[in-house]
Amino acid sequence: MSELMSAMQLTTFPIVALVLFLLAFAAVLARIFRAGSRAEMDRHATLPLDEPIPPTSTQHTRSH
Amino acid sequence: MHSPVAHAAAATHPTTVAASEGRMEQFVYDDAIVRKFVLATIVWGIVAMLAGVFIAVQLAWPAANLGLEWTSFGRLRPLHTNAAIFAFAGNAIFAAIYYSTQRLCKARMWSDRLSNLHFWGWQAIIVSAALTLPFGITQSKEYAELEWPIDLAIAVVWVGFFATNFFMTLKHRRERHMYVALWFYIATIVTVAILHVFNNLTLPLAVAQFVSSGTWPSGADLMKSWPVYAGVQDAFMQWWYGHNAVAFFLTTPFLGLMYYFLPKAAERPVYSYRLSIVHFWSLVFIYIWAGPHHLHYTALPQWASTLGMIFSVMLWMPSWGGGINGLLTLRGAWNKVTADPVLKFFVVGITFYMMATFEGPMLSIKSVNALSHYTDWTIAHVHSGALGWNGFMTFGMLYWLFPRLFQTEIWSRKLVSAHFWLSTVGILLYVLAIYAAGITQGLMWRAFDEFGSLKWPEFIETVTVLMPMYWIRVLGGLLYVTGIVMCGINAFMTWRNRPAKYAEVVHSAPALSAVYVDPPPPPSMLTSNTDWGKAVETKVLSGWFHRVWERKPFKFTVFTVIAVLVASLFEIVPTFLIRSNVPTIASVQPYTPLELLGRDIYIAEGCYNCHSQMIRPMWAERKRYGEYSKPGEFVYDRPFQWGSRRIGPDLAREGGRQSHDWHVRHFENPQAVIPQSIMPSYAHLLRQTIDFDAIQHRVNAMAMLGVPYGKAVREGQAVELAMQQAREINEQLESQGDYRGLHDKKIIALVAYMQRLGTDLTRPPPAPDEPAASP
Ligand code: HEC
Repeated sequence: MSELMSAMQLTTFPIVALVLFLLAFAAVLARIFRAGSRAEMDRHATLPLDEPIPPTSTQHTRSH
Repeated sequence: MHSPVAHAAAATHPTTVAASEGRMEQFVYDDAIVRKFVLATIVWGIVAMLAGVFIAVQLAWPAANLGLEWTSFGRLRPLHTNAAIFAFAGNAIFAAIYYSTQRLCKARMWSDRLSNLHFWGWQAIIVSAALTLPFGITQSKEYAELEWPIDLAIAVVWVGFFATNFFMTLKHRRERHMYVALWFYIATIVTVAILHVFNNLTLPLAVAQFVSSGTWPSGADLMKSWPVYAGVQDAFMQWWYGHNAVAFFLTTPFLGLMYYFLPKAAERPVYSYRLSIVHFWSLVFIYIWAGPHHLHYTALPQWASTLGMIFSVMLWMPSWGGGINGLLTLRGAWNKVTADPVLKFFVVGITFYMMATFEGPMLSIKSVNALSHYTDWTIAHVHSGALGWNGFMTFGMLYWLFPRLFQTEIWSRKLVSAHFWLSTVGILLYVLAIYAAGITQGLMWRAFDEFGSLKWPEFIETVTVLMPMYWIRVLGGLLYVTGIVMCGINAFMTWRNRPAKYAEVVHSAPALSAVYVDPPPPPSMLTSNTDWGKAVETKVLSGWFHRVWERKPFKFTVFTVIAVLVASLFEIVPTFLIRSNVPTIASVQPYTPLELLGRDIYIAEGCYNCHSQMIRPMWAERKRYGEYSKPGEFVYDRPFQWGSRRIGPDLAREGGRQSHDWHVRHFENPQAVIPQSIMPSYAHLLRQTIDFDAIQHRVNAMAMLGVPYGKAVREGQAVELAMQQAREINEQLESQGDYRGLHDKKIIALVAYMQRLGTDLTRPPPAPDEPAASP
């Protein structure tokens, strides 16, 4: 293994890395620009707000 | 605060709702666990920052360490950093995760027992850190200082309690889509586990000794260990860990926090959900590569260092994308920001995130790094991150949570405002002063006069000039601590006004149906192509695959792990496998048994917190310290001691620079030798005796790790060699000055180590049959 690795050009590693990275990035871009309707995205974005108000919680508080 | 948008979206899109068709279920969120983590956050926040102020005072006024070995800078600095990261920020992210995960999953945490085991286990770990670090029980790897028994406990608490509980909660969630905050939590949990395990692979002395002799070490030696990696490889692992601890402990969980609590506080959804997806994946992909930027111009191979730089610079994009996404969430709501202190904390926190992530990539550019590295610039950088980003996001979250957790109004809004302004001013004082200190010192180290000599050849000149800035730092730190104390008072008083019994709201939501079918991929837009081509188009290019993952926590987790591991392997494997990366130099020999012991004293005292052992190949450094460091010089260094900050001078070529007598006088009382010195006194090393009996086991353990100790591993040999070298050094010491009878004191071992440092390069290689470990 050591011999094999030593025989390889070291610059191969960064190049392979960069290619992998670009592929992954392209896949993510595909996800966001093609997949899903805008409405679905909007629903996902509002998930944190999708919660009934607990009766005792107060949104605006007075100072003492 | 039922969002109209949410309803509209849900109503018009029955497809996503239809995915969760199970029967209606009722559940109550566990807020008691969140209250516990909140309390721990505040308490440890105060402790961590006080420790910071205490050691900051020591740098301006060394006598402040009370003259005690346990409270000296080298021993307490790790306590400060560990407390700030793992106790303060750690408890804060657990509070955030336990609160938001339950809501985003519409489910109570899977197991209350695991939640509590996690909480108490984590606090026990923090306490054990506080009980070991001041006693010099340390691995000396930054932010991974805790010794192996505590490391094991961390692994159990993190994976066994926390991760299990979290993933089982995901499994039993009642909302099919995993909101982006949950992705950040997933990345945090799996990556921190990986980093922790691999950076902490060590050989404990206890194990080595038990295997070879059936006995156990005594006292603090029970916890002693050495890494399985040496020198360059150890450095590489450490900064792969160190950098990604920043990424996955101090960044991703806080981004999850931001993506949940900011919309909550602003009462509007995040600006762009698309952007948050890009933000997530680019961070996961890019961060993991950036570690080597901590080791520019060191004995690390060039290619690795350049790779680290490129990926660091690429980090600019996602970090700013994410920051802008946060700030734009407030579009149209800026009037709220002026009125609501929670939002103020968030806005300043995110601004610091953007500043710190602008500066980070900049510092990773080699030419900037040449100036900044080893100076206070780095310290300013991490504090704008930790106090500004982590601290302010935490406070924003805390103040938002108080009324909800304690089910009453917050006690004093004025106090919240006061906290906000005090800490903002505190950070600014801290950061500006320490920037100035860093740049000043960096420029002084490299300045030449008109004759081509160093303009400030005495290191101490570059220290005394920093003193005013160090005092400003103390002031800034004090303001910041005062702020947290105010937060604590406010929390306490709010808690006192709590209802007699907390109301437990019963929520209901349909369970996810057991049979879940992925929605079909979109129809292909290709008219004539192979089936394979169509599949690629509809499943991959359309992004369908990712939308499916977003509903499948386990698949999602697996792919996150792959992303992290691929990047790590591409970086780490070559460093380990390519022999030419670590050229072995024939004259570099293992440390003698006595030097080995001295080295362990150096580690225990935390000298690496102030001294580097790595001369960079730059003219100014070679002039000041000598020939630059070569990778092959470190092959027996377990752990490596390159350091990251030069509060004192580099020690890589300290051997032979001073007499034994000078060293002993200097260790006993540095100010007696260099009046303006800020180095602590190590007088206790002149009193404590060497445990010669323990030496043999240390040498044998090193031999197990592959260090060629030759005959020294024979029973009694190492002790013999050590005693002989100690006697020799003591004789020379007595002939140089007034010290008498120190031959069995720890100081002799430390001096032996000092005198060895960096001398191998100029020493003739040993004759082939000579026993390797003789001095
Ligand atoms: C608080 C930071 C700090 C700590 C901790 C510290 N030092 Fe120092 N050290 C300094 C400073 C500043 C100097 C320069 C002034 C002087 O010589 O005292 C220095 C100087 C030295 C020198 C003199 C180098 C030379 O040849 O001029 C040696 C040797 C040294 N330290 C060793 C150690 C060892 C060993 C430890 C741990 C046991 C240690 N230091 C811990 C700050 C520190």
